[in-house]
Amino acid sequence: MNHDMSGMGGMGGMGGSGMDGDKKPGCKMNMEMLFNWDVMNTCFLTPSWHITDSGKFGGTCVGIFFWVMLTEMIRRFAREYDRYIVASATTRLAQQLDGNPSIVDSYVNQSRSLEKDAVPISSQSGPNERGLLRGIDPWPIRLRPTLLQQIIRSLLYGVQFTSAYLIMMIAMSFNAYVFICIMLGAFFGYLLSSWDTLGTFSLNSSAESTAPCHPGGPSAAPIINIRSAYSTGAAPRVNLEQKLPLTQDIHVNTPRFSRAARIVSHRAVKSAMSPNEQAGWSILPRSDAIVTCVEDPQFMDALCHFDASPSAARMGFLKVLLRKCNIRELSHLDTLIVPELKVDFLQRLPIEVALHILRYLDEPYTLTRAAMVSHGWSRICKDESVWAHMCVVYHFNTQAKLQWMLTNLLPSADETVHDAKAAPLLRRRRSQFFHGQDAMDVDESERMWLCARTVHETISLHDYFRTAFITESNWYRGGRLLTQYESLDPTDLDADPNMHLALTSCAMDANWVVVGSTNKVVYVFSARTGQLVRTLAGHESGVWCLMLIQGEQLPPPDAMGSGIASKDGLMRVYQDTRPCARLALQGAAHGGLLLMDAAHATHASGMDAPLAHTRGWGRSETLLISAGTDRGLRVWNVHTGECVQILRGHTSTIRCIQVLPRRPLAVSGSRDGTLRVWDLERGTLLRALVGHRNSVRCMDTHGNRVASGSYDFTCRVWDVDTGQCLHVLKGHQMQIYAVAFDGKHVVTGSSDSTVRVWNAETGANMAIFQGYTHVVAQLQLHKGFLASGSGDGRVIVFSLETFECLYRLCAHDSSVSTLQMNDDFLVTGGADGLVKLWDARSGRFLRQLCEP
Amino acid sequence: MVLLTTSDNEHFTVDRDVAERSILIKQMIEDIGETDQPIPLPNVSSSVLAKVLEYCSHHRNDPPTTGDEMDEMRRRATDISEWDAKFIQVDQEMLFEIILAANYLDIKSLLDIGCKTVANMIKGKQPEEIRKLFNIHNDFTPEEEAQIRRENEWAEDR
Repeated sequence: MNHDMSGMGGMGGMGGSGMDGDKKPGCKMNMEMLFNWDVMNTCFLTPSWHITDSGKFGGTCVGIFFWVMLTEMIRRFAREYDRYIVASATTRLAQQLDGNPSIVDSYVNQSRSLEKDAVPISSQSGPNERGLLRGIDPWPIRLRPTLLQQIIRSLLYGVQFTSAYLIMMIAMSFNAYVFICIMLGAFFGYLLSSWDTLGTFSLNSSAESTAPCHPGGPSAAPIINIRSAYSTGAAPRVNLEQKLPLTQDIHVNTPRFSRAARIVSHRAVKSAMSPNEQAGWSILPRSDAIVTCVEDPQFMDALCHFDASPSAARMGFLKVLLRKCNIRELSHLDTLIVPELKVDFLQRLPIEVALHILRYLDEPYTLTRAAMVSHGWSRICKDESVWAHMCVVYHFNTQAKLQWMLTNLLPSADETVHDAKAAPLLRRRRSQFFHGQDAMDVDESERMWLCARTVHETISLHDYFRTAFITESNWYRGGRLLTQYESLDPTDLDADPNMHLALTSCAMDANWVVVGSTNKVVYVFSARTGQLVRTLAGHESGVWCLMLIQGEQLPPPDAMGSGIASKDGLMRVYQDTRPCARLALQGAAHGGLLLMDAAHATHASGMDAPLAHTRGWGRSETLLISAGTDRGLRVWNVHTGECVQILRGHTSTIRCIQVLPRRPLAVSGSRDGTLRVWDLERGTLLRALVGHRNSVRCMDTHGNRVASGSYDFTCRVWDVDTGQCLHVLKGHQMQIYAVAFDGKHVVTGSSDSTVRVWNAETGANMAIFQGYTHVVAQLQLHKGFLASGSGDGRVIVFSLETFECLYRLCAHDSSVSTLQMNDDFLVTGGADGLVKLWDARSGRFLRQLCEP
Repeated sequence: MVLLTTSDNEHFTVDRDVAERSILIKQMIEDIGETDQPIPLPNVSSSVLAKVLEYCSHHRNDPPTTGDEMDEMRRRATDISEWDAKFIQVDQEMLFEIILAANYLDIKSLLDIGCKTVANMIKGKQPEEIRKLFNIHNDFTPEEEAQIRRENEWAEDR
């Protein structure tokens, strides 16, 4: 400023002297750059304004005085004119509002879209910026003057501007009298013309401040303003004026704030503000400390200098600056600095490193909590590779579970047979998946991921893990009693008091639980609800064995029940509380229990026998085959309850039945010492397998081979298709009560308290397991592990690879009446009425599933 | 001896076996052969490189780990040796830079330690605590937050 003035003074002097020479020789104009009290011979603005006498000077003073006053009045007039525009617009708006309220909304929308372009108040701005943005009314109405109005406003502005500039130039004559006149003129001019308002404030400020600031409800604030303005009449002027950038204040504000914005945005390089956001700064309120501090131009300069300095100098400067701060300032600095020093690792690191970090989070709850932090974190935490890794950590990458995933996680529409087109497609996808299984151990997690992708787009490993995890959790502590049958239909009991009701056998699949009993009937329960669906009557005496043959109709993948049956005629069905749960317990023969995790067992091969169900040969409905002391096998349609076939031929009680998977072939073993092979489709006897010299107690099948255990102390391996006896396994000293057969090994349990393992190909005795004190009546083979249960209540699990004992459990006080094992769990039921759940890997006791 | 130049044009002279803890540098040396020319590391600043070289010289005699072991290590609990734990006790910005540098220089064990440290910081914390820890802005609307809470409930109870 100083420089400008001196320059102008010099020019004026030169110009003046130059013209003096031409027009008014001898006229000396006083153009000193010092205050003076000269009256005579002074010049103002032009050479013609040359003071030659005191009258002229007095006139000049008075003229200047009124000129300044006039300038102030023009200013006032401009203000009044703006108010007039606002007021007339408001009235017009109010009138329109009177007739049609939707106009306000359109007005609001319009202004909002304008506003959005100009000032994005988005949630993306970081916490630092948020504080500054607070307090802005989100969507004020913008009022735009018409062209004519704007020209008038500009004219007024131009006059003001020019007049003020001229006054300044007059002041530069440094004439003290003139200066006093300007001061006086300004004083009185302002006194008279600015006696209208002292700022503006809103009567509805509370309504504005409580108006929602998030984009969900932004329209509320302007409507409140307009409506209240309309109702109060006088208020609109005050109200709208505050929001409209019409007054000259804006010209003062703009440079100040853009300067502030430059500083702040420089400071916030890290947060990488967009140009739009920076533009948004220009209309920010002045409330923030950062802004007020850099209003001071000296601080500004210091900051600019700081920006330009090398890092060592900056460090040194900061060190000095810190020493200058008092304790309060330092603690304030502390609160500002702490968040600045923090790093959002997951978002800022390259994605592969971020995923590497997540791989160290082994607990699923840590991952899910991290997913709740922000959108960005949620995206990273849902990454498939993270959950593929989790599946490996939690052993959810086993074949049985993957198969189960495909049957349960796929959309149910694909699963129903009604959708005839989808079914073959689904089957093809599924077979693709199973083909990929063999290479699983190369890089399991990667492979799983790829498989899941190729099989079905919609399977995410996150969902799969979630379901598997919930299922596992339910095994640990979920589940509730769904139904319980104290006594199964007592009227069916024989009049004979010696004929004690006992549940002898049980079978279960995803839909049904069937229980055979000594009172000649078979009970059919729904596995989902636990309700007794029907009673199958027809046998002439007690039922001893049964097996379900699954139809093609697959179960809808919804929550599933579980049943427990026991000797005292008690039937309990458990169901899990959560929809994804698959916890199922199966009632079983001899007061014991079989258990299945319906999820795992439904399609897992090699587990058919203990669950007493098998895949059918293509019929749509589920069949049940049952037999007992009346020597006849009966085939039932479970859906209708109708007895389809009666197969006769055995001459004594039938003790065991097996149906070959996917073939209409049933094999039965009887006390008459024979096994008979039946064609279930034609209802005929194919052949009898003769050889045992005493009753056949138990059998197991694999492929077309059958291993049968007999009271003649031997076990025989047969070929079902030829009827040939392949091997006679001799070695046990007493009756054989249990046999398990997985194709490679035949395992037999006998009342001589030993278990023998035989090579199924050669018939050689591979191992003898001892350690029991009583009959070994329960055996199950599962993936190279042998679980065995004895009449002394002991359960021992062996590895068939190393022939070593993995763990021994003193499971029950009396005999182990049933046991069931899968990858994760071992469940045992005892004649003491207890059902216990163990960890299959370690043998650790987990929980007691039911009490007597 | 190997000469390294950082992004801020500082020079470090280190023993070859120390520098070769970094697979990147090792491969560079293998490609260009022994040379007096400085190896430029434009992505690493001097303060970070000093820290990384401190790690490398402490671990200069570590036997090279096979891939399998590494995997097993990674899967297991996030245990960090005493010296490493002390070494990695730095502020978040430095930790961030170290992880970036370890990733760039391909020093797997250091990358693992850095990632484990961050993982340990996240473990056992509620979302709000994590936000506070890393100064993350919660950009969920209340409705979204309620929904994501529902979606993630399943992992909480066991």
